Amino acid sequence: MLSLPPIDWLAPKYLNWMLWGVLETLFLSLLVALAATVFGLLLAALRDSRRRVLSLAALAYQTVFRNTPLLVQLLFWYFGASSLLPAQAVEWLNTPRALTLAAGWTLPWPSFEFIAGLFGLSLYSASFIAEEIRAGIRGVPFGQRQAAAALGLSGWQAMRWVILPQALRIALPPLFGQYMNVVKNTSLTMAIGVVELSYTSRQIETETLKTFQAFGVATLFYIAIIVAIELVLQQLRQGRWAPVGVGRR
Amino acid sequence: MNDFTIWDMAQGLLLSARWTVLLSLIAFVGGGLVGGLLLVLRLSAGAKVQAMIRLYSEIFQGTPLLMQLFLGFFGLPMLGIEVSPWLAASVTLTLYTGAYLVDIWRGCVEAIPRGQWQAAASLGMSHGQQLRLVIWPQAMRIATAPTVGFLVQVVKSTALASIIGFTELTKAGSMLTNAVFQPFIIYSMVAALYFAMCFPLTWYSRVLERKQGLALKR
Repeated sequence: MLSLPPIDWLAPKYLNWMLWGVLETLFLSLLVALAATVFGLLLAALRDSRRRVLSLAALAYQTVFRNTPLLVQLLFWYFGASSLLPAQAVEWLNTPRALTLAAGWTLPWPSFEFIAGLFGLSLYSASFIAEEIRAGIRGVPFGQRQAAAALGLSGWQAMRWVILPQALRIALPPLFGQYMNVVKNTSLTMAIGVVELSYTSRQIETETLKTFQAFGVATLFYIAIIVAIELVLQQLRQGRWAPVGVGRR
Repeated sequence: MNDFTIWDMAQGLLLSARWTVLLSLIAFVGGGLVGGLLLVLRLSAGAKVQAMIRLYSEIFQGTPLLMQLFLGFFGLPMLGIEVSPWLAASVTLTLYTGAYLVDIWRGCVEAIPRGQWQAAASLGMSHGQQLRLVIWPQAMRIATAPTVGFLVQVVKSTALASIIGFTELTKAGSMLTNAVFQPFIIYSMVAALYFAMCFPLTWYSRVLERKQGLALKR
């Protein structure tokens, strides 16, 4: 017979910690998703470039980043690559400072851990996102290109106004799947000391020994974020909120 | 301090890579069994069981593997079950792999036209026979490429076991880094070893995909 511990809720103080972790996870995920999408578009463009050197370089990049674990990549950037930086640069990155904005508002400078995590996650995710975008572009019928050319659009204009809007609509579900992966993957940054949701839940577990409560609540937060992304995707697919040209027929 | 040569470090890492291979195999074989069993249940059991299986695979796919490992490793002792990092990592990765495989394989079974089931039924086959003799042989041909592709994700996921203290390749890399402070070289070698395990799988899955594309065109 298993001896279940009596149910004992987490103190408000700890829930408060957890909420800060959620915010950090959301913030990091958002930045990673943005950076990885921009870089992924660039990678996709390079892969389909007519210059063989460029397309091979992009392919090599994707092959390396997709075939090694994210955790190892994060450790590499945080410990390995930073060991090659000049000492002053590391010191500069590590000093806490605040960015003073107008009207007395200050923006705290992100920790070196956060920067390394953002950097590593973005590079990793971009290699996957590029592939979803390419698949989307391939899904647009060739006739669309010809039609755009017949209207006198240049190659770039055809891409920007005809191909990409349709490609993004096709790629939307797998792209959002990648954003969900980004949220789940941010949990690995705890290994390099980013104080996000997994980190705080581990901290709370150590301090309170309420294992199931700590990891259970954190898991529920992750599920909530994933479900929210799914809901946004459904709204987008139904054409609501969509700017003209994306998501609308 | 640096009486370790690069060769010594590579050798140490290579030896610890055996545990990564073993853990990947356990996760894959175990996950394959779990996935296969759940697939059969999903195709033949009632609505309630089907909903439960769907819930299982959504929970394991919708939460970070790290949380699952933490719950397994720190949670089970709370229930009075002592677990080693070994056991916790094997069990969690098995359940994680199974949750993905059941979905991948179900997709492949659903890709087989309904008429195949009906044709098999008209020959007087039972549900089990239809699945085993008619549907599965066809579905398996579609399933091989994505399954091998998913194996790459399994190998990469085993790196997380290092966080709960299982000494596989990644953990060995961290320990070595703490002993001889050469993180750049060590993590490069760790990454290279993972690449040597994953890339052949990626490549093989690509080859299978291409072959299948040709077979479908014919």
